[in-house]
Amino acid sequence: MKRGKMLGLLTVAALLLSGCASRQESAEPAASTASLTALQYEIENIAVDFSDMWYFRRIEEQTGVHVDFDEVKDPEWNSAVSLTFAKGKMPDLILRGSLDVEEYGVSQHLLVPLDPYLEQGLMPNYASRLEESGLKDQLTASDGHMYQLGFLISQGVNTNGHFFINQRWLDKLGLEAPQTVEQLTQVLRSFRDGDPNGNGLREEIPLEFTFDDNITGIYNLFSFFGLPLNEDYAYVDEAGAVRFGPEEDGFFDTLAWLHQMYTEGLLDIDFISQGSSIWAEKVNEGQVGVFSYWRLQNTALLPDVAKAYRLMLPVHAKGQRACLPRNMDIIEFGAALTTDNRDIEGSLRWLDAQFETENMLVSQNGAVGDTLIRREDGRYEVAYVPKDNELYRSVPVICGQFFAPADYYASVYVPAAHRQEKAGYCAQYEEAGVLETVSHKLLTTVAPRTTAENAEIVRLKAKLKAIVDAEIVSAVTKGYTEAERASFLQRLRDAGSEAYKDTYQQIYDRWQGERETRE
Amino acid sequence: MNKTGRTSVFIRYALSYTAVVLTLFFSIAGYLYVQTSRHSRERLIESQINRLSRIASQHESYLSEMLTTAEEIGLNPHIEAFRYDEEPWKAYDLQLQLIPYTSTNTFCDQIYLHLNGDDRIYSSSSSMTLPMFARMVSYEHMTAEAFADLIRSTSRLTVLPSQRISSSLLDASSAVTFLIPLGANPGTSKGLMLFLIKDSVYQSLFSDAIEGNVNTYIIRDGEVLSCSEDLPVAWEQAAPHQVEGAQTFRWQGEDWTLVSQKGRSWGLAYAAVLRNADLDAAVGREIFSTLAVLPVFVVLCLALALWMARRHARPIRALTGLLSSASGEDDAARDEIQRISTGIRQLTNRNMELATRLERALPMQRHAFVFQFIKGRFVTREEAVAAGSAVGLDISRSCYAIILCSSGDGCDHPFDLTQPPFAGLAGYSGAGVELVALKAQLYLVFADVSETLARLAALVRCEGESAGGRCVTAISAVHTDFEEAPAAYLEAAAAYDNRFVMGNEQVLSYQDISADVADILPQAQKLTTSISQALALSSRELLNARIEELLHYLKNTNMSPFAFRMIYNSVINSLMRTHALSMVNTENARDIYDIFSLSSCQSIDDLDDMLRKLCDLLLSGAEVSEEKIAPEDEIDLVTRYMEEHFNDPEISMAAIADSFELSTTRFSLSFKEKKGMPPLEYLTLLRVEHAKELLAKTDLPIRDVSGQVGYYDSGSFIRRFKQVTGETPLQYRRAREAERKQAAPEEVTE
Repeated sequence: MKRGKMLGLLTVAALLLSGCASRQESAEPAASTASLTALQYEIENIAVDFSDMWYFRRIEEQTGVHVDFDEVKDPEWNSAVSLTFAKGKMPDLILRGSLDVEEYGVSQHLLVPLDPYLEQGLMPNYASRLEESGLKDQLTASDGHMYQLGFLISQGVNTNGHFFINQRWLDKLGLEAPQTVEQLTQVLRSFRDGDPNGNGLREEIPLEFTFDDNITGIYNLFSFFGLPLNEDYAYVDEAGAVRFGPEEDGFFDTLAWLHQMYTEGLLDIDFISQGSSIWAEKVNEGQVGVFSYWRLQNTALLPDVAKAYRLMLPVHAKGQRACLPRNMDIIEFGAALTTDNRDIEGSLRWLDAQFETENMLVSQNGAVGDTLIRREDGRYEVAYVPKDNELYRSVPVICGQFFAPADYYASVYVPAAHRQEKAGYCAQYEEAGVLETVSHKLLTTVAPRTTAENAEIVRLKAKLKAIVDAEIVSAVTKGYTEAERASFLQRLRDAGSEAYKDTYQQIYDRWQGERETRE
Repeated sequence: MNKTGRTSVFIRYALSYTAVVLTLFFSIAGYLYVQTSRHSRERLIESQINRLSRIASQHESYLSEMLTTAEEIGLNPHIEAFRYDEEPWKAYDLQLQLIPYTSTNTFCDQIYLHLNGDDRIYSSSSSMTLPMFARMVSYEHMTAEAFADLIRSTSRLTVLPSQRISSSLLDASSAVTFLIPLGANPGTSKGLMLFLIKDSVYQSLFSDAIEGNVNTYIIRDGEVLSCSEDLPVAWEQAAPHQVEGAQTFRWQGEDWTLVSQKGRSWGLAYAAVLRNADLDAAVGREIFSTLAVLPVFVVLCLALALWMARRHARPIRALTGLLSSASGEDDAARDEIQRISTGIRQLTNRNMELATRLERALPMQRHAFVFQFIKGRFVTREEAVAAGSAVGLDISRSCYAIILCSSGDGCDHPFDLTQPPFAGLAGYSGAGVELVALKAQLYLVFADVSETLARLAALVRCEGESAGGRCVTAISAVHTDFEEAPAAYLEAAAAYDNRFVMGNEQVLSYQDISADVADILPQAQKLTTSISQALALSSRELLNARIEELLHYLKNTNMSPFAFRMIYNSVINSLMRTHALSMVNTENARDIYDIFSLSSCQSIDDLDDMLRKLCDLLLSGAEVSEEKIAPEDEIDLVTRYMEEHFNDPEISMAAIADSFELSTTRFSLSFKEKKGMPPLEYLTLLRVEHAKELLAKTDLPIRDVSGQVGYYDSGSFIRRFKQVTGETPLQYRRAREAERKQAAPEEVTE
């Protein structure tokens, strides 16, 4: 451990020295414009000359650094990156897209570790924001260095599916919003029997869901019984142990309740087979009592229909705490400097200028006074969104540099109304404490996994999902006995549920260990 | 000088060629216009038929795919009819079963399944009630209820033509719908498949239309399934004219062409409607592109025509110039053809004048011809015949003779043998010359039969006598070989000289005095051979010895001067012919020797002097020839080799040829060309000459002599020796011994 620290210190010292050297080297031409090259990611359906883009001319004026871009479209990006490193002649910068920093930074040492320069204060805008975000772990490679700058647009979305209940029906029937499973069951029965739409027909659908997606699917309903069931079935409990959702009691409790809903005619049995468009069609017919969705505004729902609904906190079963899967901000790859970089200081100056608040917001939304407005309270707001990707003519939008953690973003930018709506729902759920404590995203997305581990997870997931989904369909429509429950669990074990859990546990433990080591 | 004339000829040519070029141009252009016009239109129609075939093939392969999908789903044992409201969990499995079929279909991405007895529609990703599906598809021309009923009741392939839809299920504004019963046997079908085909897929089928000026239709049972309509004409106007192939119809004052093509099955047909005006324009463009190259071709041809006119006019101009300068005329008013005509007439006249002059000069030329003939200057018979023909003498007759006739008083010129009384004879020709020194006239006469020659001689004598009183006439023997002309002269001269003995009462004939000469000539031939061999061996010493032998023979033989001259003539003529190749300057030889100088020789010494000069000339000519003309080559090497190794009995021509890397045939030919005799003959000659030396100067037995000169077998040696010398070795030795004995007392006396 001590030896590791010593090596780390020596490395940092060496890098500091090399940084000083490069600063000294670049000091002389600082007055004049430095010229760098960059491999720039470009989304497929646009064709833009980044070298001649207004936004980058503005950054050049501010920094004295000129960058010549080599644009590569999305489908060719990965092969272009591989070729760039393979042929030995690398550009100074690699911008956006994706980059395997473990491979090119940790293993091949072809990327410049940036953490020493951040500590030196060469990127004040970015460094301070990164520090505040608490997300440094996501950007730290396995050797403890940061080889990349992150790209983050945090909108404070902490869960995908929120529950909505037909407020008009509640009002018509004189009901309160339910808080428990029992209350919800009663409300659903009232919806079924109370003819809340007033047409005299018993055509109301109290519960309308699709099957296995995490926005409109019944997976969200497992949260009522304390089970944060996600598409990967694996999650981490508060003790740091990896759990496999379908093996939990909450899974079977939910199935029993859903079977009851089905048999009572409270659950639209079409959830088994219907897609989201059919689901939306039904909701838009105004006959649905409860559903889960991303939000109400600016979605597939008709505005008039949407107005009938209000957010519903997930109800909880007796003795249980409702628990929905928690989303978290995932940092994407923003930029990296290759070891061929000819002006590290200039490169970092050029990059950090893009993280300056106004520059950054302009890069996403266009020029201030045109598509972007600066309000009196100092925050920025989008005036309008040009059609047909017009913005890309002047600013890089999604292909530029952006790092905005949720709090910071909210302090400088006024999002569109529908985004505010979603953020409000997320805040309410957070406040109500109905989200899982440790986001399963740490397990399934953030914690790095080896190629072998990934292959194993993919293989086992396919087998387990087939068993789980078939069991859900069967249990909801036909119910289940204890023997069937035991049989199901046995089938899961036979299909490798234990290995699935163990693999995830191994990944999580390793990541946690590295994080603790760094701390 | 003759600008008007020159222009005239040039313009004539230019106009002629231009007319030809333009005629060709208009003929070709007309032909191409007619052909291209017809073929272009046919090709355009054919291209539309081909296009429709392509569309049909593509479309029907898509339909086959759909039918196959429906059949496979119908036969899939895992897909069974069920009622969703009774067994909803089966929907989950059903969707899993449908996934592979969705991903394999390339024509449409919207496949739905309806099972009999159930009121739902399934896709691989969703399911819904039939009424909801009908509502969501929302056809423009069909109510949801009608559509749902259609799905419930359809038991055979049904196609709903393209119509507008407003559906969230399909990302398209219009679609063609296929309802295909499941399985191979429609009657026992457990449901049906619905294929919603975006109309954009059909439009992409039609998108290969050139320039977009065509309406394309896919028709089923008279109903348009889908179409692309770029032209204002609607299918309803075209439909009544539909036949297989192309059909023209008129609508709203315009002509249209309808091209139709039947599908292979399902009652499908494919059609395209084109505006005739567009077709004409396309044809026009094609004709233009075809004919556009012709003017370039014409310009090139015209340039070529002008060039040819100029080229052809130039020699005429030159000819005219020549004629003008020849005639001294400069008549610019007349054109060149007229001037050429005039010039040719003038030249013809001049030629006639020249012919007349030539005729006048003919006696002199005949005179020269006669002398050349008698001196033996013509190498071949053909050369002599040609020369005779040139002077108006047909000498290609079977025999000839020379007549000498003494000039009478007042009669120096020879008689014209073409005039009477000679003209009364037939089958002869001849001419006479005057021999001033002899005071005689010489007639060289040729005849088809020898009797004519005698008659001619008699007539000459008669004419001579009638002209001047006494006349001596002599005639040589009759000859056939032109090479014998000098001998014939000598014969005539001999006969003429005999006048002192025979008188002049009749024609003196050589035949009467020729007996002793006949005995002498074989001996002369033998002597000639030995001199010729000495010349062949290029041995001056040997040559002198042979000439001495000849003189010795002549001095010791009593013979008349005529005999001397005959022998000498024979010897010299033979040498000149045999060694003509080695003679550098034949003129020198002729200076030394001609028959007239020979006939004027008065002593043996004169003859000897002449012979030696000639031999010297031949010998030096051969040496010069060897030195200057041919540097030492393979033949020289071979010659030297043979001279050094003639005594080797093993020597053979094949071995020599091999050692010098020559083929035997080529070696033999090259040797003969250079040495005048085959190599084997040369070797034999070498051996015989050395044998002569040994025979004359030693007492070696014949057998030993034979061995020393390269013969194993003395019999062979003797045969060869006799072949070459005319004597056996023993005869030769005895003859030499006799000569030595005769010479010895004289030497002592001296």
